[in-house]
Amino acid sequence: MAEKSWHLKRRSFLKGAAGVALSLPFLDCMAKDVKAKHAGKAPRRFASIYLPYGVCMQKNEWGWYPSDTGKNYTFTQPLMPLKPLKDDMTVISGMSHKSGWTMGGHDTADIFLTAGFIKGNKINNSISIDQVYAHAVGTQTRFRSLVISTVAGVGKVGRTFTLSYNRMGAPIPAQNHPKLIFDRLFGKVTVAEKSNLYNSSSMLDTVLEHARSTRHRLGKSDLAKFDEYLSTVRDTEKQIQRSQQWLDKPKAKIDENAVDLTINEKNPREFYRLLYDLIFLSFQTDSTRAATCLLGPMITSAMETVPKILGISTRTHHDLAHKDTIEHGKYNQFHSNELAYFLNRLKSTQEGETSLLDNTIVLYGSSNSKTHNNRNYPLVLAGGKEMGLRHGQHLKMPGNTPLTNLFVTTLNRLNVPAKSFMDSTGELTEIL
Amino acid sequence: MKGQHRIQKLSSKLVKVLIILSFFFSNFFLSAKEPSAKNHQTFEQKIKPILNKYCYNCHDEDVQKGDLRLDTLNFDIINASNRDIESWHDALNNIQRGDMPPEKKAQPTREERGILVAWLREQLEAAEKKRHGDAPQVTLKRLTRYEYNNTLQDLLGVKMDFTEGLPPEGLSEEGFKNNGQVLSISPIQYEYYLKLARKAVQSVIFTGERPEPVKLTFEKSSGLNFHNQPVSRYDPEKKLTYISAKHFKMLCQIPDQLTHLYPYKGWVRVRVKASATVSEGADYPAMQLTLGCKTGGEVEPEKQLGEICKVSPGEFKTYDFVGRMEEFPSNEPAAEDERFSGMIIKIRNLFDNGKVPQVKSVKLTKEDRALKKKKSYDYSAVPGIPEIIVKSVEFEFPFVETWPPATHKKLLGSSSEEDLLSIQTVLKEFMERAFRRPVELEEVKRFFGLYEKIRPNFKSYEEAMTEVLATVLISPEFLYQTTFDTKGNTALTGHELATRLSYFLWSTMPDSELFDLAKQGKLRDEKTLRQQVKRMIENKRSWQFVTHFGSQWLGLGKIDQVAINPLYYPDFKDEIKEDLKQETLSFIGEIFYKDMSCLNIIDSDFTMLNTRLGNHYNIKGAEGMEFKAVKLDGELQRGGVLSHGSILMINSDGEDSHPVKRAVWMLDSILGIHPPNPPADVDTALDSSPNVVKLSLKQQLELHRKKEACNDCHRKIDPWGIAFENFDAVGRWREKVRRVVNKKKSNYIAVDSSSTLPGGKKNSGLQDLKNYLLKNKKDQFAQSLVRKLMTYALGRSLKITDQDMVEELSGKFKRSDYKLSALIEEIVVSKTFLSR
Repeated sequence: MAEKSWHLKRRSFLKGAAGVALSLPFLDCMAKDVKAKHAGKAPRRFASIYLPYGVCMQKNEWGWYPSDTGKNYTFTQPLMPLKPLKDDMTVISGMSHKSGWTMGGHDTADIFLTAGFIKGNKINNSISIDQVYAHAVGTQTRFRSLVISTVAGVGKVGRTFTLSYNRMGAPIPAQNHPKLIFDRLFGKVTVAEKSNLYNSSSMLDTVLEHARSTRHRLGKSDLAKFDEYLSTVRDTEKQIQRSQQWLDKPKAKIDENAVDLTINEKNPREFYRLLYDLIFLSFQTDSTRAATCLLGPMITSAMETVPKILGISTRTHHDLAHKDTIEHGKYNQFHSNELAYFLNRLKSTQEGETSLLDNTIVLYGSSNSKTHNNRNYPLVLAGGKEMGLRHGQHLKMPGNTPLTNLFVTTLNRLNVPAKSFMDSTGELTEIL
Repeated sequence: MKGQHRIQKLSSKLVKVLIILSFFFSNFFLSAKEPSAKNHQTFEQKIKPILNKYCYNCHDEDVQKGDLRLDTLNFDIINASNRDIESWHDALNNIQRGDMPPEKKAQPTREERGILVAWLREQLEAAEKKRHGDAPQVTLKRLTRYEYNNTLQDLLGVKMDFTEGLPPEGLSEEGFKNNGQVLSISPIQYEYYLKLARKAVQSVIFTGERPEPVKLTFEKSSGLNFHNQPVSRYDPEKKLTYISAKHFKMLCQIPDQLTHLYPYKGWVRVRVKASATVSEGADYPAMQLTLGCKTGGEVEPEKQLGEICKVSPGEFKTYDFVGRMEEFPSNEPAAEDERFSGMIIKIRNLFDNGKVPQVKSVKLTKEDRALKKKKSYDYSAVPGIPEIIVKSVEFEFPFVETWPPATHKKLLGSSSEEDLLSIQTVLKEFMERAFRRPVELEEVKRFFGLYEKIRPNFKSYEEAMTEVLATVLISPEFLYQTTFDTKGNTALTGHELATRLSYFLWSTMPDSELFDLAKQGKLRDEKTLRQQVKRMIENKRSWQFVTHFGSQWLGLGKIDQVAINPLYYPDFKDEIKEDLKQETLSFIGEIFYKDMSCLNIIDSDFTMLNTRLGNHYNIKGAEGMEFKAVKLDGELQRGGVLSHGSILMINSDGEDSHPVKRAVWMLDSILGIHPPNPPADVDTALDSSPNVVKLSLKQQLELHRKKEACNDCHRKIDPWGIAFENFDAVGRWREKVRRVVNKKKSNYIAVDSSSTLPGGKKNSGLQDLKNYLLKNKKDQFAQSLVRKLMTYALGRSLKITDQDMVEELSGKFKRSDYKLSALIEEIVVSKTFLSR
């Protein structure tokens, strides 16, 4: 028996949609205009910072995870620098992306913010949570998002240099050069940038005029398709007009001397701080509301030798993670210290009645517990109190709770209505 | 996974809504229009008695097999709802094929069947004409991603990648990517079109003085790779580098102190002087050259420059590798004055006959230690594996033959800013090629207006022209295949025909010969058209047709989505997948270009193999890396595409065969039958209880068929798929089915590939099935192929009004002894192809 035409249509809908729709975990929340809900309130921001290779798993004070849970948990040595910020943050354990369980031991940074899947030839990555947020509020700031890393570019599949992925699941290249990042955020608008946009406007005008003159020459059956094209061009034109408006507005003014842009990875502590400073400045000036930062790729790069430069160990980071000695815990402590620096800067910046930290959700962590183990992610969730987050505890979730539940809650707190994200099973109500 | 379920849920909701809607509308139409008295009479007197006798038993109020109820369908088909029309259409197909009534039930006489079929066809065609008149369907067809890429390359004469950011095509219900109805457009996609249009035009327009090239020559590998990975053997006396096998490479580092070299667009040329050592009878080594950059880590992104080439032994010869610098990975310049951060050239020997040994490390020598090597490798020649010998490598960038480059001159001609008319001429010529039609002065003026408007924004005339030409490339007639409605005349114009023909056979814009014939009004002449088809097939661009039609028709794209479980196939390498795809495509190509009968697709006395794939199948006779026709011993059962690894793999689950998928594929792709999807409320999973899992798949399917809801359809599906059981998920022959229990333990079940086909024929396996198809289903296969090819050629779904043409063409196809080239020619000169 043959199929009915509506069966076929459903099938072609599925086929046609598979490539696109699957990489869009939830279309419904993307188009929502969240502007109205923001009226009169401080903007909401989201930042995610990725720590490569997981954490020290020793069963002593240098192990990263606190052994006790709840409000009165004991700070371990690696987390100790964050102790003064206890009421502004939650240590979370037990969560992970199920899709990552069977992936390679070094491959999961690619999916930390996406919950996608990559293995061998199967590359099925999808949009990252920061980009979902950027889609919702990106037009309200000069920059849709800030994507930075210690290495520039996209790296390769399984060894990513970036945490951010677009709607097609393609990596968004990260910037790593402080001067370039600063110039983009606060530098002068280049002539090329300006003329490019103004020309685009004239170009689209010509296309529309031309297309209208073509329309009457088409057959009736082609008009619906042609009008799909026309409305696409009009939408693009609107998008370009929005970008033009930004060009006419001056960029936020930051004195270049406020930061030392010549610092590079040879001074790792200062370099990490500079990256944090750039995120801080972009948030403070409301230049963007979504930022991601990869603190080092999962490959041998310049950042590998940081433990040596800092005098913490004679081993490289990768080596440290594999051997899992006390030194690994010490290195984790160094990173907690830098995170504390970032959180403190956010906290000490007033925004109306509240602080910048209260209006920012920071997700810090790794998609390895120890290296090659893709479960039980070490996570610190900080800030966002103004958005209703409740902190102060070590939250140990029952084994293998989807991390995407936290993503759903995060998006809802950011005023992006979301029912689900990839494999989520609900909200993470424990932090509300 | 999860997302998929969500979409399925969503779509089942959609279907429910559609059902409710169509019920609503069918009632609406019923009350609105009364059937004519004549129709009523015909139905009551002639048709209903036949339906009553043979059909209503299983499709009425009490029983609705296959979810179909016939007695309530509107018999006034001309005025019936879409849903009822589709049901009648299904019924027609089934009755015509003899699938209904089922073999065990009472059969109508020849005469009765004839009356029913004639009535249904007449009614359905009338219904189709009433609804659409003779009006064409959607003819506006957005270019697919590959068509867009090919077209830009041909229009500008530059081989670069213009697909970045463009979404993959959705598939039509028939599995094709070029269906105008399905191809859509979105604002994000349009922004990419704008970006790519600028990139494309910028890549051919050059301003300023002729640049001074940087030339570097290398006579040996420059130093070690990161991690001291293997490089290659160097003979200091002869000053030659030997690349012995695919793990080794010659490595040339372009130092980073060269300034003002990057970012500069333009051609780059690497010229290699090389020879080879080849043992008697063996294939020549294949040289691949890549260009990449250093990232400061072990990741060294690289991309192939130019084409892979065979290196011949004897005298040293020069091999050129040319490409565009913009296409190659590079480090982002840190500041405007910091321009070039170094690049790496790598030369590899890609020779692979499946017997290249793993790279071996050896004890460090004194020299190694002096070089601070952590590892050393055995670089010596391997018997039987040919080596590449490199004398020198010359790097030149920017590589300029003439200034300004030929492509620049071709585009802008001798136009100049002072001569406004010359600018309009350039615009007119470009627009006509880009829009694939003559343009009017008024249209040229509009784009010229844009030029005048934006000219003050630029330093040079060329820069302003770049933007204007890019604007042409985001106009509808470039992005879409467009036909105009010339009041009542449905015949395509010469230009429209040239375009349709060119995208059909070449997946790109027409060449100058087609354009000229269109301009002269000669293309619609049948004799000319037939000559053109022959010419186009002979042109190597027709390989585009083989690739795209072949892989879309047979569904080869799915091969990348099958994850092969290494527990089942520990020695399977993913590169074999590419070989499997190539086997099928070059097989179709062989039949096409050698003008063989398409019945070879069902069974043949040859297949296409290279050494590596031959090793995979364990078939001897293939030498070298290229695919060549290999004569088959009949006992191998490897003739035709049914036993191609590609087909067997896409219809597997990566562990075991999947008889249901294989059967559905065979019915759809070979015989043109679309078995229905399982009903929504039925549990489709096979029982996974331990007792059942122990059974062979054939036995499991037998159990499955015992479920009432499944049996109706599966008795018509499963037997076809069981015939394939002797082939595993990676396409190898097997006598036993392996079930992995854990890493160390597997169970084995004997293969049983015998089944009883619908109609009662006892079948003993795949060879038996092929024989059966060739004997009994030739006509059905031919008609199915005609339908697929017409659908691809027209870029739209076929309608019932196309059926007459399908039958006419099927007849001609058969009379041509099933030649694909003849069928293509007949399609092209058919009224259907020549009309909107």
